[in-house]
Amino acid sequence: MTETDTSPAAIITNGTQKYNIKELYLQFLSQDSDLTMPIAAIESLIQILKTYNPTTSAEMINIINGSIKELTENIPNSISLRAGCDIFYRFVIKHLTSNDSNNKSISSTSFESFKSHLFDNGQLFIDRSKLSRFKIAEYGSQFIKDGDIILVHGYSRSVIQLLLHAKLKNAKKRFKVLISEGRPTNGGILTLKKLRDNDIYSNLISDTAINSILHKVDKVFVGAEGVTESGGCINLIGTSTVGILAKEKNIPFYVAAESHKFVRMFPLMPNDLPMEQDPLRFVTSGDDSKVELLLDEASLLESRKDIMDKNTKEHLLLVGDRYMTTPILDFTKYEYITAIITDLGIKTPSAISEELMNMWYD
Amino acid sequence: MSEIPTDKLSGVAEHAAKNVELVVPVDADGDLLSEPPAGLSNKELKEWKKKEKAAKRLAKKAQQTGQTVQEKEEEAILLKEKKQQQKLLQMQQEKIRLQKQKIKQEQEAINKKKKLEAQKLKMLNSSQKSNLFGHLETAQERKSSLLALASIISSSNFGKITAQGLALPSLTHLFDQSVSHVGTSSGAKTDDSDLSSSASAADYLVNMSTILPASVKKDLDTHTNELSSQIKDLIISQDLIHPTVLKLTGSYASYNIVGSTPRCLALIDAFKELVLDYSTPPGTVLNRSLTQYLSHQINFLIKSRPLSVSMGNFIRWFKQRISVLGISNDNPHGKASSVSNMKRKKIEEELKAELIEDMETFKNEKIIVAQQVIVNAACHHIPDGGCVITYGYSQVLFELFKHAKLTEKKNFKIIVIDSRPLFEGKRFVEDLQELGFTDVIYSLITSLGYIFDTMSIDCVLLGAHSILSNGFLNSRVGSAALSMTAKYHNIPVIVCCEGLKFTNRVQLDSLTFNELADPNDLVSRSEEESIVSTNINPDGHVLDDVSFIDNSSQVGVCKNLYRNNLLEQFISEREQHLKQQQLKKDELNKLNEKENGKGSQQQNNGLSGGNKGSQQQNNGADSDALLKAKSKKNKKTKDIGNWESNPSLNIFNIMYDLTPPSYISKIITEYGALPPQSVPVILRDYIK
Repeated sequence: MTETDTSPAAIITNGTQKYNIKELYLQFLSQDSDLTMPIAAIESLIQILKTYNPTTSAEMINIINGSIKELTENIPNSISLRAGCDIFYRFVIKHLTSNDSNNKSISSTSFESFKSHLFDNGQLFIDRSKLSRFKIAEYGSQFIKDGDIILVHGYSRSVIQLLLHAKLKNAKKRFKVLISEGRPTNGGILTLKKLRDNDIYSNLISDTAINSILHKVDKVFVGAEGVTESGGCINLIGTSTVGILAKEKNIPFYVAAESHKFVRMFPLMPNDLPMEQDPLRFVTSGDDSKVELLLDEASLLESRKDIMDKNTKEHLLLVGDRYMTTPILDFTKYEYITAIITDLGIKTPSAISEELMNMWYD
Repeated sequence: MSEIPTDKLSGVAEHAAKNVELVVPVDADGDLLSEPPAGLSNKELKEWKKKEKAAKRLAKKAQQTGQTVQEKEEEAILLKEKKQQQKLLQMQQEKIRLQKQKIKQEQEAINKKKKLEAQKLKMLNSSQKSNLFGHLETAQERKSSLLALASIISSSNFGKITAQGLALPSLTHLFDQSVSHVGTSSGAKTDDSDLSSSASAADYLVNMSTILPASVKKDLDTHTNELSSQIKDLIISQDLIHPTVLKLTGSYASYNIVGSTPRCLALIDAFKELVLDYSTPPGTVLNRSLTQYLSHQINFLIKSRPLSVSMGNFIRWFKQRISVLGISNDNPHGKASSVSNMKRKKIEEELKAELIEDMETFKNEKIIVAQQVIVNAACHHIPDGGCVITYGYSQVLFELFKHAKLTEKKNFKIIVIDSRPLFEGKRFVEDLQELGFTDVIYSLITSLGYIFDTMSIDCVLLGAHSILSNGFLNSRVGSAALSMTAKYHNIPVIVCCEGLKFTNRVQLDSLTFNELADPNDLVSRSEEESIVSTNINPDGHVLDDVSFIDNSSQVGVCKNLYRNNLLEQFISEREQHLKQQQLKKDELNKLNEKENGKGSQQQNNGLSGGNKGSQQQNNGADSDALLKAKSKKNKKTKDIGNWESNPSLNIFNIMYDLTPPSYISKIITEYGALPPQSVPVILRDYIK
């Protein structure tokens, strides 16, 4: 690594290193199925910094910026990893600026110490993130009462953890769980398996059947890819539909999300999210038609079991991408959310913007 | 029992004395003091002596009979009560008698007064109209005090007819008092010496007089106490007011400077000038005297319009800044006497420079840079090739559009919605066109429904007057309607607002706190004139009856010159058409009733406006009064200029309305973007 060549894009394209941040990120995710995307992003950023080992703070910031750009551009579902990148970037900037202002004379040594601190504590991030899921489970399971019927949309590790905690630890509550399929990624099937394995009475319904059964449901729990500044949540497609239906029937709608998923975004409309495929692209049965692909769906469904066994959400995402131009994420407005269960406690949607502002301004 | 201690005895005497409702002074030995209290008339003296004797007797009796003190007391109380009851009874009877008499008298008086009151009521009603906004200070109240002041400082003899055609004889007594007060308070001050300087002050205030002199006078008659005291205060501090503030007051009142941010900027600039010119009077400290001086200016300033929230926040900051001024300095300014005059002046200059610099920083930090931050954050909401809609005029939005157009080279359509009576949107459109915007639509709020139905709008961008802590947006009246329509059409409403405009106030409706503007702004005076002049064609010829129908199109054109109100034009044309028909009928009638000559005298009496006279031929002389009423009525349908004398008509010209948080998608401040529910966070953590 030469100091003259500080442009991160140049560094990465120069190809002196075998690590590519995208591969690194995917590798982290596949290694540990419990790892969330923001944490994986932070991990891979630290790894990149380790390999490049910048000697000045400007170089470090450049590397981080370039890596973040590369990562968000190359990963299709970049919302929650963006949250992780934001946190990391903010953390670095804050420390670098405070170091510079406090002791200018020894800034070089403090930079070194900060760097080593950053490298050493990589594992701490992962541990904390896993811990935060337990905290969420602890806070959230108190919402569950005996005899409840709970609706879960799609697959979320936080929600599953929460349900398991309620079943096994927290007074061994008895409740039943209704799981919606969560098309097109079909994460609901994954949820069903995990819950049934842990002796929780559960059943799977199609996404389209939610409204027909919702009046029997007592609570709705969903996870989140990201929680936005407005207090809304970005999650698997269909979540906002469930939210609206739940609001209409006055059923409490809880979002379980770790605080590192708070993302500095402010979507106004459900389609304000970055989408790789535009659902508003209309074609007839010409060259661009995907009717054949949709017909192939049947055979893909046959092979769904294999996908499930692999247990990787990312793989499912890829399958989902192939057969439809459906967006895989949507945005649920804060109006539909009763509370957000985080590792910092149970927050109302409007408290999120406070948390985010504290993160960025203090 | 036979031996009663002396102190107890004196106690008895006291009690007895009390019972006859007179405390007789008792000395230490228990003997009653014989000296009567001084300053009594003969009669009183006699009575006092009587009572003294009675008290003595009682005391003796108590001693002789050996009655216990308590028994004596009780007896006395009983007796007193009896007497009182009797007295009360008598009084009550008398009262009833009196009341009956009174009621009779009152009834008579009421009957007498009824006619008088009916007449008075008309006058009163116009000033005591609906109390929907009765708690708010009206523009009339504000301006009448300004006008009064203007008239005073522009004329040496009070109560004279002034430049505005305003006679205020009812105020003379007030001024006499206050002027004498001024004379005593500020030493040798003569009217003549002040004339030259104050005449210019009056000039500043001239252009704000949209109020009829009559209404001012009426105001002063009805609110004399409250208003006159305010005016008095103003008059007393009149010579303290800085010319910049006078000028500013004029600009505010005449809406030359309008909008929360421009007003605040102008205020900061004015205060800078004011501080520069200020010199601390001897014997006081800058911190204290400047604050006092400022409050004089502000008292005057709020007579033009109430302070905006941004101005209020600035003033609060500024006063706080003054209060800590020079405290950190090494040689405190407070030791004025020990420091030499020269040094003192030098310190003062330094402090003033410090203040001015701080104000400049405040302006940059809270308004100019804040706006840049907001613009950068909000710019991505304007899509290239999209369409945004806005309301009235907002400085931060102007900056935003400027940035999007010139810096980011975006092409987009802007729809500016506007409303009466300020027409701020017109200014906005002009400013935008100067920037080179080609795709601007200007429309009135009445066409809101059509615009939202037909055009594909990406977002609503609004400025703010203030943001309340419960998330409500306080903005120019009409914004709420726009937001509501946008919400209905699922279009996001984005508010751009500097942190300076956040306030801790909570408000649930726009009635409790609002600014009442001049109702006469809604009843346009120029329109009344245009009605008179409508029947004059562009060449200046008065159109006669014969050529009227042929030239109707010309009239239409002519009317358009004066006002663009098609509906009004249509109505008046329709009326004229009807009158024309009436005229024809009348002519027929005339043929039939030639003997009825009286009515025909009034035909075509040369009225250029609308042939009002032509109606009057119908029924002859006996219905003259009725016809007058009719013609009056006709006038009313055209204009409500006579609303002041009409007790059943209220005109409210409010300045702001509240947009509930449910209509607002996002508020963009320099601290970041937030939903309206999170406004308290900003107030709590970032605004100190």
